[in-house]
Amino acid sequence: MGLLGQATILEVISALVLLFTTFYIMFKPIEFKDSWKDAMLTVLGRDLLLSLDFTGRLENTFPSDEKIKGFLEKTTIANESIFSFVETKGTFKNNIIIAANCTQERIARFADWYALTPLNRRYINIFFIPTKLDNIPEYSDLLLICGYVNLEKYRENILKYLSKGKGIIEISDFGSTIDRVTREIFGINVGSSGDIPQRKEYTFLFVPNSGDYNSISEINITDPNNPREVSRHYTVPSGWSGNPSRTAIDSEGNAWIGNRNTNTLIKVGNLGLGTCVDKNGDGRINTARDRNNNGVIDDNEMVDFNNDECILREVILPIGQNNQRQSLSPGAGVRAVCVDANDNVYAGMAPCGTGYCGVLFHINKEGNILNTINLASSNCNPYGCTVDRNGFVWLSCHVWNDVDRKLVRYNPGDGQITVYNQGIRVYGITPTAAGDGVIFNAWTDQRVRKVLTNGTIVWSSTGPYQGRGITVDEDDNVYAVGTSGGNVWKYNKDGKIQKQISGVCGSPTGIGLDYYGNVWVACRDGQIVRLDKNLNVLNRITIGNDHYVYSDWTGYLRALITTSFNKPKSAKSEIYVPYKLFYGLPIVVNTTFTDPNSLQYIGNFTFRDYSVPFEIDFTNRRVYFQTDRIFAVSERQEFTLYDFNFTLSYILSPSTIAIAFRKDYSFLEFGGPNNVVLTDGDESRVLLYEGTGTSKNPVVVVNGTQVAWIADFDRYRNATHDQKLLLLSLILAVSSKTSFSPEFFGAHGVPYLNVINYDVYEVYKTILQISYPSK
Amino acid sequence: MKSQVGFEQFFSLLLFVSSVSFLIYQFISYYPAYVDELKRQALFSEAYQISELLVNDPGEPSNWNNLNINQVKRIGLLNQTLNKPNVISLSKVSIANNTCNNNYERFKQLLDLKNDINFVVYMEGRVVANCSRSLGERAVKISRIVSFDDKRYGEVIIWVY
Repeated sequence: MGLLGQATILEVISALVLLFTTFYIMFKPIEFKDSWKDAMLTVLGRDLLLSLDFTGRLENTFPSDEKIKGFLEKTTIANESIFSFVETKGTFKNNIIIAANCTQERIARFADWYALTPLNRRYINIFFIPTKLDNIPEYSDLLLICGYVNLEKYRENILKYLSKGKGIIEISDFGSTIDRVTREIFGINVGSSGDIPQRKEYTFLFVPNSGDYNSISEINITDPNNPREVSRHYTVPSGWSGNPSRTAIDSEGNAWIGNRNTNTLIKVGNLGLGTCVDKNGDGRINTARDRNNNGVIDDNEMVDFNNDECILREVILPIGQNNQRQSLSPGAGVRAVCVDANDNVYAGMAPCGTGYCGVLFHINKEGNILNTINLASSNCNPYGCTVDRNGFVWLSCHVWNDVDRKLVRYNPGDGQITVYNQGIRVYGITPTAAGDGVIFNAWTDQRVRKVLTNGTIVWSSTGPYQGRGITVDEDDNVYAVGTSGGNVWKYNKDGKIQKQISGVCGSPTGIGLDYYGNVWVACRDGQIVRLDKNLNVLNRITIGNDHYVYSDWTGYLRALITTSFNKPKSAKSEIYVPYKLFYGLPIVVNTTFTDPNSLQYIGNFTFRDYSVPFEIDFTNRRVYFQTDRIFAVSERQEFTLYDFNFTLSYILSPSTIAIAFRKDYSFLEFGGPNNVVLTDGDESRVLLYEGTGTSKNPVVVVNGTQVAWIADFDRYRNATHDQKLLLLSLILAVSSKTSFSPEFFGAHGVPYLNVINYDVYEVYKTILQISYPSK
Repeated sequence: MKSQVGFEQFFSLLLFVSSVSFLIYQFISYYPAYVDELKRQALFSEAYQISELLVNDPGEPSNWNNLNINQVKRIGLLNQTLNKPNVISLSKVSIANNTCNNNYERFKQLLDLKNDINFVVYMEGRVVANCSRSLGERAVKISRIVSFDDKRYGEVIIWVY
């Protein structure tokens, strides 16, 4: 019994323990749980992001969570302990660390240019740290290499760096060769190192068929051994006498040609490059074509002037109050025609008829007359013209039955007209490749002379008789034509005669180069003759007749004076991002001293060859710019300086402003001893060309989305703000976009897709991580 | 023969009775809390819906703030011109506040509320609307961060009870 009693007590205890344990397990978990707290956190996060965005604080907040906390302080939520963290993805980082393989002096310059970059109402901090290529800091976002470095022994390091999504920019000039790894990474080579892909792009020239031929021919010289006429266009309607002559090519390959027997000039589209316009919408370009494939346009292949869809514009230069096309006495119509770096045209009529004596017309690419420049002070009736690297327009002038003995320089920047008397006739004029002046041919005075931009005569050498056309190559060797005797003479850049040949053709007038080193001579007997640079005749062909031209009919000279963007064709293009950034991203411009009277800060805004003084009136939020006049600009206001458009993006402080460049800005010069070609021939990788048309020389090349090369524009430590902006555009485009993303346990991530278009269009994802800290 | 109740049988009976008692006790003690929680959940749900209605609906007609209150079918604070989420009209806030304070039943009717409501609107820390009464025994609070049509921001807090 005792044993039984003991066993029962043990059982009782066990049963009770079991029972209460069961109750505990069964009933303890029964408690009310809901997810309202979590849900309201998500709602709070969403409300917060929406309000930050609408009140314009999201970009300011971006990506600092401190600002969010400041925002919440004015709400009752500040009483609740909330943890938040903002991260952004898919756009420029707020802090960009650049590992710079550069000298301390250059790093200091870069830091001065870019330390604090405003963008879309926030700041991007760019830090530069010195680095060696064998030990690139992993925390950096971009590797900047200054000057050419043989990268062969750093290949692994650099590829590893790139594989982490980081970018590389090299700012350098090249010698005669570059190493294998530089070729591989940047996708570029230099011209003299061999193994250069053949250029395959369409190459062309335009020659007028003067006199009563009334037409202009587009000739395909892509295969220079076999030039073929692509198209031919009348320059006046049927029944009119055009007598076309001066021809100039714009950056798109269109030709402008003046009619010497009317007051009209024509813009002709380039059929080979596809710039003609299907005006009647029938799906084809109605124009003259070589239908029988005999290499020339026959009469029965021509299309009437009014139906020719390659005639893009007919510009009628007004004579007094008369804005109608007029028949003028032979040679009394349009003479001077030249195109500037922005594709605007200068044109003038030479003989001094009623109402149009001594006038130069400035015409935009659409054919609208922008400005009528009165040349009366110079007593110049424009006969020929050219535009140099500085944007100066140089004119030869006409006097009764002769050309005048003076050069006239028109400065579009300040409107100043300067006369440089030469004592000899001034006929064909060419700008120098260096941009330091012009060289002219002296007709029957048998001289070829170089004049600096300030009028100083540098050299004056013997020239061919009846010297008309003249041109230079990229090394400023000079090629001059003498009509009588069919002469072509070559000079070096110092004016020393290198070679003279005669009998090239019947009455040569014009001479022009293409980018492949061919020298083309246009002749009045209808021939077009190809020479090499040593003046050896390579081949000749007769196309059309009476090629009376001695201006820039191959487009080579205009190409020499311009540096312009290779506009991306779509957003998929590798150059799209830096191109879009350039036109929108503000560049910081600092002042340099204080006006002792006004105590306001004064600085210089520099681009191309211009240095524009400005003064900041911070109190009234205005900036005064000084060109030929002084004018005030407010924040966000667009303004124009020397025909280029800008926006005053920010007045950041009493001593600092930020300016954005607007389309279509073109650079003046990058230059340098670079003859860069692309290893894959893919020209869509070129962001910036020096020159245009057939004479393009890359000065900024990207390779993929992470790599870019830019010619060393700061080689003389004189970088201008446009150049600094271009490098900044590259830095933002190729630097790493991967943000540090810590993960917080228990935090709710609220994603938000944000779009900003204040300075540049920017789309990015903001993720607000939010939670109560107790979680 | 007289039957005997053994200890085991007695203990089993005790165990059974105590278990049943415990269960009944648990049920009785949980039931009010459960019902209370159900009501609270329903209030939360209603409060959230009202908050959505206030901050993301312009009301019916959408320009109701310019009409006589008798012509209004539904109150919402969203600025119908900007029509952006969480961007409310200061004018509508003011009219809603007046209606709530002066004609509470009509206000409730326009929100189709079965329960009572208090609401306060803050603009950057300053009260710009306040329609508050003593809260009932059971109240839930919802706070929504909003923007005003003049680009300032604030908070709409509602209690439903």
